[in-house]
Amino acid sequence: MSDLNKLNIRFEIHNMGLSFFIPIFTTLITSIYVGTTIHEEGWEYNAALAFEYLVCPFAAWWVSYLYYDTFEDNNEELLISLPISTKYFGIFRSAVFFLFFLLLLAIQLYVLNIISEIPLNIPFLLFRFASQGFVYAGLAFVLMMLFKNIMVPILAIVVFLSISFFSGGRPFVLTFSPLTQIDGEVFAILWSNIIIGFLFFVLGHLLLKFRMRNINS
Amino acid sequence: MKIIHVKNIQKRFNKELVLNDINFDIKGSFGLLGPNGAGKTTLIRILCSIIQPTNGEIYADNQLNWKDSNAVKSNVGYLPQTFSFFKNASVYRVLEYIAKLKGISKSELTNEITQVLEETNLMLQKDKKVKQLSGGMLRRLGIAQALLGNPNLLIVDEPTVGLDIEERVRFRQLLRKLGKDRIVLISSHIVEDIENTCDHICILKEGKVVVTGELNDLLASIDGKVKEVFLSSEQLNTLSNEIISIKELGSEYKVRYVPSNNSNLFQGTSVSPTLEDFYVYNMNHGDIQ
Repeated sequence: MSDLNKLNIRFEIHNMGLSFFIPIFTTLITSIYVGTTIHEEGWEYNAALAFEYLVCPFAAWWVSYLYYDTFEDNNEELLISLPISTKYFGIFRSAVFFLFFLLLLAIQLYVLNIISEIPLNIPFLLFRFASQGFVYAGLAFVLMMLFKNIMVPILAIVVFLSISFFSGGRPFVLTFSPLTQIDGEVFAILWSNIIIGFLFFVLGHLLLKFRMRNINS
Repeated sequence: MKIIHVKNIQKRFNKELVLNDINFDIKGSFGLLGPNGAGKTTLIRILCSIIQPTNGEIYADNQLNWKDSNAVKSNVGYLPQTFSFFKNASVYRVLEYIAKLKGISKSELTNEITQVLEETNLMLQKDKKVKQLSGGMLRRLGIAQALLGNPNLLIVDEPTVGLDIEERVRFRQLLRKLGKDRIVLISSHIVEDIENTCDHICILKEGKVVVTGELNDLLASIDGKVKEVFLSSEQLNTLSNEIISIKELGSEYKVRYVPSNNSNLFQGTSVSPTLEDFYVYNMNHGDIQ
């Protein structure tokens, strides 16, 4: 049986309990905020910030929770004794939940495009916010593999966002640009996000592989 | 699969030699006994193919070789010392999830789960959430997941840890029953667990085999070497190195001991040895193989 056939998403969601709905709830709140401020001055900028601060970081939420049950009580020993691969346990499961995040983001952007008075480039915006979410998901993945504690990725992302907020918006991961800005500078940040996220996932995968071979580490 | 041969197994973690030249055959209900730090868990992890040995080999009746990690994982059911995850899921859903991970096909899934639920007497709890289960039920769920896929070898690490007396007895009976159809390996530092469930044993100490064999033969080998005597507290001090167990009875103590030069002063009566007697005797007097 291939690894893909072993995926049991319904169970993973059920096992997360109410925690699964937190990103959906936050997305809904953000959408309401963006929708009700649509006629205000500087809306394009504020809406973009709301996405960067309140939507993208939640790409890390589900990835972190996937490993909460496994690592919190040292239950990885049983999973390692089963005939499953490192790829299944790490990248596959995380990728499925990152796709959920993309779906959520796409729906939100689609609705925003309907209510917006100015035309929005939805594929570009999807790429923009997905690339940021990719960094947070990758960071959560690598930190879970390293520390085996769900609080570490959550705190790391909160600290990163706080620093970027108080540092006055120096572009790194976040672009701090209005929804309509599409230029080389923004694209450079987005492509660097993809590279950083990819490196995080590769590093996380290697750490997981090491953990599965060295159970006591 | 009737016998698993463990040959010259060595395991090093960095420079530390945790297992040194381990040799024995696993058959029937097999107990792995030893103090904490003896290397039991490391050996179990090798048998589950979670880690690989530094040297040596394991094979079963020429059918299965431990070099093929995936084949081993499909033939071994494992209940680790810690089993408490998927707390929000129901018993049935947990078993369904693990069955899928073990590669059990959709058509066999329901039958397999029903069978293990019946075998572990968890049918009435199948819709309960894991967090609502008692310690004994949780261990039985651990056994149920290990039995999925009908493995030839069932490995249970510290089976009764955290269970009350009643649950211990029930759990031991379950392990006894399961041992009739497959090889069951139980690792424990609790002598009672092994004595009540196993026919063959191996005692480990400091990463080496102290003794291995059939339980009855091993007990027979120290027949007549264990004595029992009633002593006062002053007399007790002269026996300190030979004592196996002490029971206080009013002003006296009932003492089981293995006689040596010091204890020849007392007129003890010979008693039938138990596994605890054998274990203590070997820990103090046994030659490491």
